[in-house]
Amino acid sequence: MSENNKKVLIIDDEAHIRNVIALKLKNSGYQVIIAVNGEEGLHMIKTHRPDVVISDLMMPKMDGRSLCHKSVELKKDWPFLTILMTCSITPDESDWMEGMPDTLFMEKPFSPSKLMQHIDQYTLGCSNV
Amino acid sequence: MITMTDISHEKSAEKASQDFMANVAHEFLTPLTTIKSYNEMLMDGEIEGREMQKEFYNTISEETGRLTRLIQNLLSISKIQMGALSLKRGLVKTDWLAGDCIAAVEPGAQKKQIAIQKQFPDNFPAIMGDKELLKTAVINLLGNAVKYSPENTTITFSIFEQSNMVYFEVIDTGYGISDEDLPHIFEKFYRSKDPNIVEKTGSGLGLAMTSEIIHLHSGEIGVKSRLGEGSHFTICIPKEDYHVGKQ
Repeated sequence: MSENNKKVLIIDDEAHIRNVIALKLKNSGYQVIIAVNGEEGLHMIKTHRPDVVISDLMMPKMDGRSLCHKSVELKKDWPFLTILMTCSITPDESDWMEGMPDTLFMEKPFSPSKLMQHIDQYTLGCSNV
Repeated sequence: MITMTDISHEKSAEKASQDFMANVAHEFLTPLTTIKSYNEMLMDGEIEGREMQKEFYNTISEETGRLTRLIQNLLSISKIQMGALSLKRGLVKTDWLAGDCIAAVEPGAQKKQIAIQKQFPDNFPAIMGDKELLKTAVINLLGNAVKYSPENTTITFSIFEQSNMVYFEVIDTGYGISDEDLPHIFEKFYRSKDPNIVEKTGSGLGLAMTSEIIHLHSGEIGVKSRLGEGSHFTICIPKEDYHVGKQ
C-alpha cells in the first residue's frame, strides 16, 4: 500500500482498539500517531497537527467531550476531522456535538471499514462528512 | 491510610443509575468492539502471516472471556444484592482454598516472573461458607496483585488466625493506590485514572464483588496502600471449629 502524507491521531485507553485502528490505517497508507488518554491526545494535536483525530468518548484524564471543546480553537488555525467513538448517541451528545466543527460520532461496536470510509472521504475532500 | 468496607453511596439514586448504565454499556461495548473489528480484519484478509492471525484469534478469544466474566460478575453481584443468591454453605478448609487460588493465578504470575511467597500456618483453620464464592474473592485479590505489580516482584499471601477470625492477606509491592482512589475501590465500575492502572484491562467489578462476597460471609475486607509502594489487602472471616468428619 502506497503511503499518503495524511496523519491520523488515535486516542484511546484500550490497547486492542488502538492496535486494530492503527493497523487498518497503516494498511491504507496513513501515518499513525497514538495517545492513551485525552490529555496526552490534546498535547499531540498541538505538536503533531494531525489531519484526523479518532478518539474514545470515555477516557481517563480528559474525556472526548472536553477534548472536542478544547480543539475548537485549534481548528481555526488548521482544520481537522474529529471522530468520536461512543457507546450510543444520546440526545445530550447530539446537542453538544452540533456546535462542533468537523466532528462526527461513531457508535461502538464500529466497523474498521466504515471508519476508513469517513476518513478517506474527509482527507480526499470528496464531500462533507 | 486505612479504609475498611463502608461502601456507602452518597450519589442520588437517579445519578447513580445513569452512571451505572453508562458504565455497563461502556464495559460491554469495549470488548465487543475489539471482537467485531478484529473479526472483520481477519475476514477481509487484512491480517498477513500466520503469527499475526494467531494473535488476532487469541485476542478475540481473550475478549470473549472478558465479556463472559463481566456478565457472570454482574449477575452474581445482582443476585447477592437482591438476596437471590443461594449460598452453598459448607465447611471450607483454607488449605484447599489457598491451593486452588494460587493455582489459578500462578500462570499469570510466572509470565511476569512474580514470585508468590506463602506464609501459611502449620494447621490450616476452616471457615463456613460457599467455597466457590470464597475462591472467587481470594482469586480477585491475588489476580489484582499480579496484574498491578511490575515484573520481577514478590507477592506475599498469608493465612492466619486471630481472635476467632481467619485472616487472608495479600501484599504486593506494585503500583499502589492513590489516596484519591482508595475510598472508592470497592464501588461497582470504579476505575482508577492512574496511568499505570488504566493501561490494564479491568471491569471495575472485581473488588466490588469481592467485598459483597465477604459481607455475605459476615466478614470484613480492608486495604492499606500508598501510590508507588504497593497494596495490602486483608479479608477476615469468622473461624469455624473444624472437627474431623464434620463436612
